[in-house]
Amino acid sequence: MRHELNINNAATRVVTKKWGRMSGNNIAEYINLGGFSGLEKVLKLKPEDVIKQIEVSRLRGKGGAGYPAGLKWRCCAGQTGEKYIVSNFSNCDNNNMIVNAMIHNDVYSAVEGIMIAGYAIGADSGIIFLRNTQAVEYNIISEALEQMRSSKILGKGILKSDFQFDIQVVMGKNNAEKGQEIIILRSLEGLSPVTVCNRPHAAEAGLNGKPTLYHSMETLASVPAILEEGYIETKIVQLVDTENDITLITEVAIGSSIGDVLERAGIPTEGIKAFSFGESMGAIFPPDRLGILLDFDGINNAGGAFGNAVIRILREKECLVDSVMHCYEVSSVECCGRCVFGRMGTAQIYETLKDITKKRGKVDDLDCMREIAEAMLLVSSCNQGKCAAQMILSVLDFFQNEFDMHIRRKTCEAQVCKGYRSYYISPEACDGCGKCLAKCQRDAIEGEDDYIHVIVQDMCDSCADCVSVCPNKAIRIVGESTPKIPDSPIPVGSWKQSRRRR
Amino acid sequence: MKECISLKIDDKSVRCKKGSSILNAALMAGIYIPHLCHHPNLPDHEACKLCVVEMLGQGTIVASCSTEAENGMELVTNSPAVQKIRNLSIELIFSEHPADCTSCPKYLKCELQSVAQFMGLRGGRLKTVGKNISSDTRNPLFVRDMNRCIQCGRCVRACEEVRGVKVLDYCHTEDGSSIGIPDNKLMGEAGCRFCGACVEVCPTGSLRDKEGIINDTVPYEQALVPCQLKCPAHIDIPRYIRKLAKGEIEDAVAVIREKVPFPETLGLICNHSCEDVCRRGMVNQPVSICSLKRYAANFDSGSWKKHRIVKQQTGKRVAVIGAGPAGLTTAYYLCKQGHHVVVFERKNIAGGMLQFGIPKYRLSEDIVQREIRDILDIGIEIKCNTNITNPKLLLVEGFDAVIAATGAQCGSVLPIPGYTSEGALTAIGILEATARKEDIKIGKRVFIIGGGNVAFDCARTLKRLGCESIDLACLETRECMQASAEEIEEAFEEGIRVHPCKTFIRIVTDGKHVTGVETANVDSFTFDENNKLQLKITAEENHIYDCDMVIFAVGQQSETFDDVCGFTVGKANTLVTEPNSCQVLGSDAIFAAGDIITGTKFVISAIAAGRDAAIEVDQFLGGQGNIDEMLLDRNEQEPFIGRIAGFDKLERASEELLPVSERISGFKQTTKAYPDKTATAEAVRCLQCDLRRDIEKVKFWNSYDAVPSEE
Repeated sequence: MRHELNINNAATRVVTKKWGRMSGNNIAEYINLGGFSGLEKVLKLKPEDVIKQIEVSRLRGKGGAGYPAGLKWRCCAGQTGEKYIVSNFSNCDNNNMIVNAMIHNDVYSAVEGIMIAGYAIGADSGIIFLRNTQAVEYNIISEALEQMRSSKILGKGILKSDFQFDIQVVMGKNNAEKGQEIIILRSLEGLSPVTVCNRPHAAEAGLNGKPTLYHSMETLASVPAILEEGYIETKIVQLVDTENDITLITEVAIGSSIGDVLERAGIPTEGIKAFSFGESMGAIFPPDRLGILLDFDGINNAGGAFGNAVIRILREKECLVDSVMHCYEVSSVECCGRCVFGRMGTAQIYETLKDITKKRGKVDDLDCMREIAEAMLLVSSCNQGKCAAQMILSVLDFFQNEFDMHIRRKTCEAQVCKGYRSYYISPEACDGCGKCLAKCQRDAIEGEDDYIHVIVQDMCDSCADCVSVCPNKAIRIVGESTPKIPDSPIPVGSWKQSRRRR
Repeated sequence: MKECISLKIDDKSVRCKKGSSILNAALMAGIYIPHLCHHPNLPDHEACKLCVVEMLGQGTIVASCSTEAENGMELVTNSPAVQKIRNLSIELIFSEHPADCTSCPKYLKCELQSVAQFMGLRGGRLKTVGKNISSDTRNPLFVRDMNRCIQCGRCVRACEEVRGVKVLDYCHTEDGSSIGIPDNKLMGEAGCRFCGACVEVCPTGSLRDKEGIINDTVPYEQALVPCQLKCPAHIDIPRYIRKLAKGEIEDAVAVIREKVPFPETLGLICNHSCEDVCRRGMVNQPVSICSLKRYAANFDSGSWKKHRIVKQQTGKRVAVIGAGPAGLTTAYYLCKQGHHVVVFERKNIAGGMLQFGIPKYRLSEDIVQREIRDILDIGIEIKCNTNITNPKLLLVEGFDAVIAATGAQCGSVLPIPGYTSEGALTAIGILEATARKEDIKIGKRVFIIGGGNVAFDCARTLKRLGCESIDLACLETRECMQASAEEIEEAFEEGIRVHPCKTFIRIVTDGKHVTGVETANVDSFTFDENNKLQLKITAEENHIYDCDMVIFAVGQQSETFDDVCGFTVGKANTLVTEPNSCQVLGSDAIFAAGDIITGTKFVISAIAAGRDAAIEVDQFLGGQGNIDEMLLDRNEQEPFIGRIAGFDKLERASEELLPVSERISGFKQTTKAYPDKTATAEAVRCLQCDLRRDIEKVKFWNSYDAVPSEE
């Protein structure tokens, strides 16, 4: 599986420099392209000097929090005893393909990063964590590590030095293990994948109580590049424009604006109704915020989730309420379950949004959701809960009118929310074949052979199964104006006559 | 010694130890802050957020359960911001909790209900998030009603962090998170040890004991440990079994001896009604509490004697009539209270039924006499071959109290035609003669009337004495026979023929000697209001069993004391006592204990009766009536029990039986004690129900002095 990479000059190739230039993960090709030269360099330096370089580069964790990597490395280096490097090679979101793209296109850069970090802090053991859905990636990584061992770049006497380091790959057990340091460490320790309070910092006492350097894959993949000339800080982002059928992954310099990123990737910025940053963990913005700068503070302060760098473009044909509802469908099911506000907060918001999409929204609902989200911001036990709150707050702040249309005006302008869609059978087009009646599972269609069929609105739940079976495309969505249709089935052809009579 | 710090909560000054959480500091100072996921025995996890407080001045809101109290902190528990969060939390919890409290078994005992009542708030405003999971009753002992779960996580913490068993956990499926058993396994499959900690800490009616499991007519602490409750002497069974599981056998003996002075005797012949109520029996089979007692008693080296206390001499003198288990037990405890005790025994040696009634293949003389020595050794005077027919005379002689414990020694007979013929004897008579090693003229064919343990004791004794043909018949059906199932089974193996559902018409004689017994078949029988037997006989013809010896094993009666004593006598010549007392009716300073009051019962009842009489008599003589003793150190119970592979499937071990030929060739003990490994494995099966007592009961809001005031 290859991911389309925006390979024109506009993409800033730092971490993704070797993508597309190797046939999969091939250690010989990687070395040919200059791979492991960072590691070679580092082995000739003192660990302290390596840490200094990381500090000077001002590398920040790309997993989301943006914590200064140098601080973590220095803290770990200062501890004694056995130490670990734990790297999260999993995607925190089911739609986020960045990590898997990294694994398929160039896993060695990240592994090289792990080893450089290991050398710098004094660890001899690394663990790569994958979700239970990444069986394919597990094999790729295992094979890549084997190649490294055969080439004596992993294990004892690495690159003919005294440095020894090895890496273990571990797959998680269930879908609650996502991107959160505490949950992943607990999972590796055999404990349940829930967040806990008062756990000491990983750098001081992490995996099994030992000092642990925890980083996401992208952060570590950036490390070899830092040791080379011309390093600039970048972020790999995924751009999704469903209406134009575009999904691509690109690398951009940190500090560009989102509008710039889209333009350079060739995604039209006119006709954007809204864009989200961070999927269900982030926030949704109106097009006038395309100027938000793509960096940790810019995104996180705006409410997005920098660690889940998926930018999704929503256009006219998409309903914001429906989109947000799907976000909460995900977050309410994938929440770890430990705190009431995280679990029941997202569930309440989801139920409320569901009701709104089903035309059952009430005016109070908006204040209620806001109240819950504000409380979640205050007291959620982990960052995920706070992120989940951001989503609805951003939508309420920026897109109040969409909700008003749904709740007060009982309309879904994008015609996405099924609850707002009414179907009718065009009396002119219907030939009484009865296929729609046979298909309807709700007994919502009345009619007989050669009679114009009629949909009983009270019974219809707008599932639209009948629409596709009608050979004459006679079943249509009720638009702005109410169509003129018979109250009950009448013989085919008789409708025109009755209209003529008028 | 931890440093003390002070902080202000709602303007009140509170002191606590450094390291304490804000919530604990408040609760210990009597200030109530609503909480649900907090529990005094569990680490805090900040799940419910009810305990939030506001830092005065800063406006920051923190969960007080997981925030350490610091010197000089100033907090309010009820600011508008805090109220908002707290109210929202309760509303969120109720959005997925069944609205109807009254149909829940935890009604009025539910912590969620209590907190909601305190806050004056319930559901209604938010959308209902329906769960609709049916109650899971597939497991033994416990019900999992997940509809009522509020995911406070207490059960997970209790199981994982306190008990170390790790059966319950947060589960994640495509429907979201819930608390349960990964892979939806049954509790036993998942390694549950059925300790009940999860049930004990659950704040709602989600995890419960199955109905009828906890006896609600006795105090909760007692109901939690049914074996100890059922034991007439209330031996601390889980404690001695735990010692055996750890290989601390001497300690186990000490635990047993804290309550009863006849451990090996009981281990061999007790009717162990504790095993009938053992909760392990609802998982697979009960723990072999009795056999384990026997195993432990084998290793009794007497080290417990170091801790045995005999109190200062009181100068009072007590006479005990009868050196059976009841008499000896009461003598033992009274002597330990400092009184001078003299036991009067009619026969030539002590022991009563233990020595003269129970056959030696069930309880050897060595064991009985050894255990009696351990009792008498503390300074009890015993006068054998001394028959007391008038207890009142003992009072005249200078005794301050007399206890009659003469038991029920006279075998009863059925007064059917021929019952006085030659060869018609009582079972008790045979058993005593055998115990005395007298020469008994055994018939060639013996017919025993009776279906209880005594009848079987007699049958099996006669078998060992050489009798070749033994028939045993009784009124009851096979299932209702009074003898234990093991007894009957062993008797079968030894060739004794058993005939249930018979009634006895007459004894056939040749004019002088027994030649047979005529029986009729019984369809059913009842006892009417006057306790008279009402029989329904079948239409079949009567049958005559040929025999040259008939033995009555139809019950025993007590012997009366001299009429001049004026004692009131009841059924089977039992002594009538004052209501709820051991004191003989109308007689100052004369008491009774054991079979003489109750009629024939098992040994453990006699021992328990001996204890009760000792308590009452000690009080009568001016003492406190406290016979409790500590024969070993009271260490704190370890709450951690860990996992054991295949715990729920561990099968009950039985003692090894000697082969039949070896059994009936003499009077060797029929069963062998457990080998060491078997004993440990059997002891490990115990569910340790007593550990639940150590879990603190959460106090409801009305137990606190100060509750956050309305703002």
